[in-house]
Amino acid sequence: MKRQTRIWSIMAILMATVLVVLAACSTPQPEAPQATPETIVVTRVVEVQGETVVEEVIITATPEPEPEEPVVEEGPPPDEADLIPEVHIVAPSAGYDPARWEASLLMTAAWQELGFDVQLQGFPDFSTLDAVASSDPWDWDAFVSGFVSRPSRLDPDELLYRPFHCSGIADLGPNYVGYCNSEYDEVVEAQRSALDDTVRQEAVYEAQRILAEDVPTITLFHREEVFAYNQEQFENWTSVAGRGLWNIWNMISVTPTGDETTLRVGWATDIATTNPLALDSAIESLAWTYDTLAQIGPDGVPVPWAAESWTVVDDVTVDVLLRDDLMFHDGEPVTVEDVKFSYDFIAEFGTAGFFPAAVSPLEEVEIVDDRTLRFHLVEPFAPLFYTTFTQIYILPQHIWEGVAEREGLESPDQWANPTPIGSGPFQMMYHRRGEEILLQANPNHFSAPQVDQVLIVAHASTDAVFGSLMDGTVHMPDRGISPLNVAAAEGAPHLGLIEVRDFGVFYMGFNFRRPPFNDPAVRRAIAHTLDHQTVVEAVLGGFGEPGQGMVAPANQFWYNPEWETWLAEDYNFSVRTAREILAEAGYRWDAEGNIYYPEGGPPVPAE
Amino acid sequence: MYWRYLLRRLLTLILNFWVVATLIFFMFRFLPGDPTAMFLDPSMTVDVRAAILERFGLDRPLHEQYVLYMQNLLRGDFGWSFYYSRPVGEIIGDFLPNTVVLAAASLIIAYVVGVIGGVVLAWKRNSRFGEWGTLIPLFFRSAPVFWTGMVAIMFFSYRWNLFPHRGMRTPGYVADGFLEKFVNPDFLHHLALPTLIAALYYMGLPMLLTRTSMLEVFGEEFVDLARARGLSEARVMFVHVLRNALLPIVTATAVAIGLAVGGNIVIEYVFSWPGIGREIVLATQNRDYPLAQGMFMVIAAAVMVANTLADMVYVYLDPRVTF
Repeated sequence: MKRQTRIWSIMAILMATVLVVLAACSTPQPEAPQATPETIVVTRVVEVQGETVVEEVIITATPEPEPEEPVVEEGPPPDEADLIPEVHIVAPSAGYDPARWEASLLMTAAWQELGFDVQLQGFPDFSTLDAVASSDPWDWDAFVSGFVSRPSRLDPDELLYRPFHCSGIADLGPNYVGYCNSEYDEVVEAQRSALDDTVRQEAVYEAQRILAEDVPTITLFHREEVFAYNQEQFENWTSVAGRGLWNIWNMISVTPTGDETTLRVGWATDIATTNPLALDSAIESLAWTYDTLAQIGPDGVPVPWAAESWTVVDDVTVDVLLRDDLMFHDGEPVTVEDVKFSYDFIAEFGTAGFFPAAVSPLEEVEIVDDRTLRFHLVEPFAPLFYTTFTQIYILPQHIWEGVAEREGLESPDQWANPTPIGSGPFQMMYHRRGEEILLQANPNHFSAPQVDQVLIVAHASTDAVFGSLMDGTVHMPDRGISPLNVAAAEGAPHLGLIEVRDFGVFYMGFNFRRPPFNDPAVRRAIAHTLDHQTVVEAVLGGFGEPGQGMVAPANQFWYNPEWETWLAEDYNFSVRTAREILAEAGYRWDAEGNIYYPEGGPPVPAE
Repeated sequence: MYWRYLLRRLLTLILNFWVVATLIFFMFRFLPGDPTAMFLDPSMTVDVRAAILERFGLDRPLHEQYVLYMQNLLRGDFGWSFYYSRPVGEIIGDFLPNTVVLAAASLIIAYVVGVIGGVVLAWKRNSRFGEWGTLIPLFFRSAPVFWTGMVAIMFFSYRWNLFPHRGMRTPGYVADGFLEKFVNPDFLHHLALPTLIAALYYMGLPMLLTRTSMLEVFGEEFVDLARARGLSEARVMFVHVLRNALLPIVTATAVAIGLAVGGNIVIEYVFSWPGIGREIVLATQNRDYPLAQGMFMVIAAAVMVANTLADMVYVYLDPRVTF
């Protein structure tokens, strides 16, 4: 009996040790929305030369320049009926995206200071948010979402047009917030039809100005990513804004320094299929196998690729001159017939989500001569070069024509396409689902790669990819490494580091369908409640920039530089200014500091 | 008599299948969200969304979808995965063997070592070893697998560079055919660490179960009889006591086998093992109903078949069991 007791007590001690270690190892979940905005304790687990170190960083939020002066209401206390009811926010949960969750927490803390009763609800994944939106349409006051950077999103049209144009409001359209401004609509329509870049840039700037003024959304932050790469075995790395090292220019420029001629890439994902008609995500690995007429250049602007050049004939006609040195991997030449076939075929059978936007602007693709194609547009459509020319693959007609009948399938998107034949700088040798993809350099390509092979190796997580980078299993990751691993990467002599600005946009949108956020004054006030400095330093660990509208600063050509002024004047963090704006608009507070609508109830905005 | 029992058991099995298939079907339909959410994109218009739902047959009434699903299931057709744009059977066929190999290896080790260890623990229960020994299985049963896995990776892979930390094979391997892929030094090298961690975790149950179950049998008269016959203590333990203490272990094994087919999500994640566990999570997140349904059916089938087999083994182990 005595011994039994001893064993149990020892076991208790052991378990306690395990628990303590666990508690130290796991990242703490953010507290409930009541967290105070003044200080944030960020626990970082850092691996330094194999040792796991837990460090606590206490970050103090930017202090207000002047002490808070409560706006004291004079006269009779506000009517109970005018009390602003609980404000309901939906945001990605801490498990889904800790950065957005914590930024939302910071913001709601400021709102509480303003007297709002805030309820922040986390959703675990996008499907759930979507379900919430469709089952109980618009039963929220604000939501937090984001657009991750994809090459096609470099075109300003994608994030400025449909999410804010009045036509996007229709039942479940992409205009979630319900923003509608006819002046804005005119401006975005103008940029869409301006084939001249300078004219278009002006309209895009103007669109950003209107959005900054109307505040339908507040961008929380833009990320910065850190890429680690093996500098011992390869050189000439090319990094591109928003894409890091995972881009075509890097794949053709990276050069072996020694005997290792196979570039091994670690990725924490896999492609769903090798059929370009159905492939929805992780498109690049297949994009290196197939050529497109254009590629997004290193500076974010489309450049001719399989096209030698293009000429804008008029508003709705573009002539494309095809290169004459293109060859499919099976030795057949690439002809204008193949290009026309590809556009028609994808328009008819492509099922991937981005195809409709890419092919719908086209009226017809016409063959002019054996090297020239004429693209007829339905209406003037400036994003053509981004969304259409860079995303529609050139498929070999001799393989894809009649493939459904040959393989006994209902439609061509169901074909496994086991050995994709394209004309790109790499030929795909195999795809072992869940394991790896082998790409063989195509020496006949006009932009032939310097490496012999690229081997893309699947991992379960970005941390596993980082482990492989450290021990030399892979030479580069497909996306940025976790900020927690940066210190360890700096300590590894064989790894080089590149910081990359991201053009993804993570934002909070406001519900224009009901008060209080349908009042422009409230939104203008709310614009002052985001503590950008704390978000960048504490939430992103220094790897990011303050949120600046829907066109990220990394997207240099389209980003309106006036944002710097707006950020300092209209979007600076000051709960005091926010309170002043609200008071000016007639909002009232009771003795406990709860906020009330102006006299006469919620104002109806004149739109 | 035995055959009638078998037939009855088989009929129950089929009935159970139908109930499980129905439950799975409705469970996924009642989850919030639908597959279009994963394609959701500002460029997607309402028409496109409707077209996608139509292509997947999700615009039809629920009962129609159900009948179609059942008809296909009868023909052994699990449907077409939305996400992979390939037959569900093909996807499961790609991932299931990986999971089964890992599960089989770790379960065999866990149950062989576990049962033997349990016998020894019961046998030496009054010694220092017998008392302290129970701590080991308890420790590994209680320690979270992701933690033991990460610690193992830290030491065996990063520190000492003995075993790979990810995947099933060295990247860029050359192998064709099933045998060549699963029977070679490289694969076994990759298999070792995840197997060890999974086995340590699985081991606790049979070890403690065997110990407890044996302690219960110790008081029986046939044990004294065996000793009186002058048999060696080892023979008494392994042949006489264990043989009679085996029933609960068989049940536990059946359940373990069934569940292991579903993959050990945590082990597969920590060791980047391309198994079925991670795919189930992905399929559920993507609302890829056909794939998730197919995978849950496979797990349900494994659990039910393993339990049926266990019931049959009972008859052999314990002649008192009658029908």
